[in-house]
Amino acid sequence: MLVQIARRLLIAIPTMLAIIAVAFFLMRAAPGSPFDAERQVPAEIEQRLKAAYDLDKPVSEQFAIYLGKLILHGDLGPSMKYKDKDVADIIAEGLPTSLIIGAAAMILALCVGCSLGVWAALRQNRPEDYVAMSFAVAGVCLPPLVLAPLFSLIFAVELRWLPSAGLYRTDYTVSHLLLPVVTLALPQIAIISRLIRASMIEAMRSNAIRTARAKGLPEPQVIWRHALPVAMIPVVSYLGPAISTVLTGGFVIETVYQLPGIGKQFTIAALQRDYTLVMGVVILYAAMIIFFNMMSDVLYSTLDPRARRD
Amino acid sequence: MADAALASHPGGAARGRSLWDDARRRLARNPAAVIGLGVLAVLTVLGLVGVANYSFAGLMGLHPVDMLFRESVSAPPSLGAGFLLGTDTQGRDLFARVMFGLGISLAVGLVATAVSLVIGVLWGATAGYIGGAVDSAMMRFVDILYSVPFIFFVILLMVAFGTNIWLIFVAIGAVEWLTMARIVRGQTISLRQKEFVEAAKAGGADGAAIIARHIVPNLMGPVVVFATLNVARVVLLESFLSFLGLGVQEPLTSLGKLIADGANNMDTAPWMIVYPAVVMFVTLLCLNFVGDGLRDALDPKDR
Repeated sequence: MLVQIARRLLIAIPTMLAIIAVAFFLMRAAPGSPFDAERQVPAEIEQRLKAAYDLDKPVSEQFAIYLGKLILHGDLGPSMKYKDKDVADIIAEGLPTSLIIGAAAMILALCVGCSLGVWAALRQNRPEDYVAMSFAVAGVCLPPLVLAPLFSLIFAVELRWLPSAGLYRTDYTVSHLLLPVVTLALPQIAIISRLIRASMIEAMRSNAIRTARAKGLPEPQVIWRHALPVAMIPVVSYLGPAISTVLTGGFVIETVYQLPGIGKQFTIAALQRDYTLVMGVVILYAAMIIFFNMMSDVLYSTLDPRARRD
Repeated sequence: MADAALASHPGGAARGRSLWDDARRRLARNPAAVIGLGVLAVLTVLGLVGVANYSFAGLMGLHPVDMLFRESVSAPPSLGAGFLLGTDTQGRDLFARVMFGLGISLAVGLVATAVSLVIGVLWGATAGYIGGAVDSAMMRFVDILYSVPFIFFVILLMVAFGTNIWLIFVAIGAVEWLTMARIVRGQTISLRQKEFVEAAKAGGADGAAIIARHIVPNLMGPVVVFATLNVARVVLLESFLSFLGLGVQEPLTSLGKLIADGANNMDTAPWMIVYPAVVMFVTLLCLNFVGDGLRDALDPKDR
């Protein structure tokens, strides 16, 4: 297991470097510069502004400087739009919101998805199964983009049960988080419940389960101790992709519900050519996705020896 | 397609039922998939008419997509006024716009899926067929790309090169080929050891011919299933880009863009979000029904 982690980490280094390089040059290829909006600035001041951020140097040299600071000092640099803020500060402000929403959605998706899937599998081809699976299909077809505005329309605008938007740092209440978290979790609930239903049905037909029943184990024990652990394996391997979907899906959620997370910052930064902030967010998300994918794969191959390579 | 599968099947020349005949029969017995296919056909026609109505304004008595009805801005849906689904904040007929957006969304989904299919099938089949070091290098590359937060790069591409609809096709297609490549590789590895491949080798066929004539036709099952579900995913991804203002641009529109516009006006004109959202929901639902139906039909494990 340690060897596997070490090997994954070794691959992660060139991966991160490649991601950083592509994002850096792509961002610089975009027309315009961070100081475009300030047209009234005289030419020499703009020159000095650019010099202050090293923007007057050739792009390859800028990349070398950026990478040097990043690797040697872990310095993401100053934001080019928020004048007196560092990228690290902006990320630190937004990260808790994004993480809370993401983690809550993930936990909700796992709990509800697994229960729904197992419940449906144990009632295969009965009406309850069809109802649960219709719900799951609908969940995949009602993406956050559609759900978020409709939820706010129904629960916030029409019924006035919940606030539609505005999560402020000083005022974290469950009611603010409820709609964003449910919206983010629903497509994942759908996917996880379908996955676990299929694998649970397969597990219940296996010889191991027939043996367990034959030796007279009570049915709950057959299900919980013998079938469920096997059925969970596909879900574990889906965890990595699920986490990256939830993390990036947080984007729409943050925009629609006007939450101050980092996903929302990224789009604004990309449109305003805030080079350093874009880079900071890309690096953070890439690192998180690589990490969670690695954890998911390691966990998967620990649980299922058949999945181990070589 | 069915002929190719038939021809490459071992003993396919016999009058036996091919994989595809069987699959078609099983699919026909699945009501959800059949209804899904029917509704999809209707939606496709509506989308085509919507796009045609953009090129030849005023087709079939529809209101032109871009015509502004200044006296009925944000009019609620009503048959009497001639606006079946109402109008938007600029006074454009929402019915014509939803049809047009549906057409564009489906086009984006199909073209981007086609791009990802071509790259993914070639990549996966080559890696799986050659095997060994080439395979592990090619699949390691896919692993690496998997850990890239792609949505950021799609956004950066849009920002760098402008929001051009062809770029959207290519960018989304380039993102979606990875899973395709993995599926195809796995299938290829199991096909490679089959007797008919050995027979082709003994008959003197070279690698490219075996991949093209024997491997790829036998891959079509999982590929078709993936492609169907992928169209739904691409429609979603495009709508996400539109929502960020980076998808298709005026004068074009897509379901995602209509929903995004509707979300901004849902307090005053809820129909602007409800109808595009319903159309998108129905489209995705049908694509999923058909995809699931195809999966059950082609891989009848639970029969």
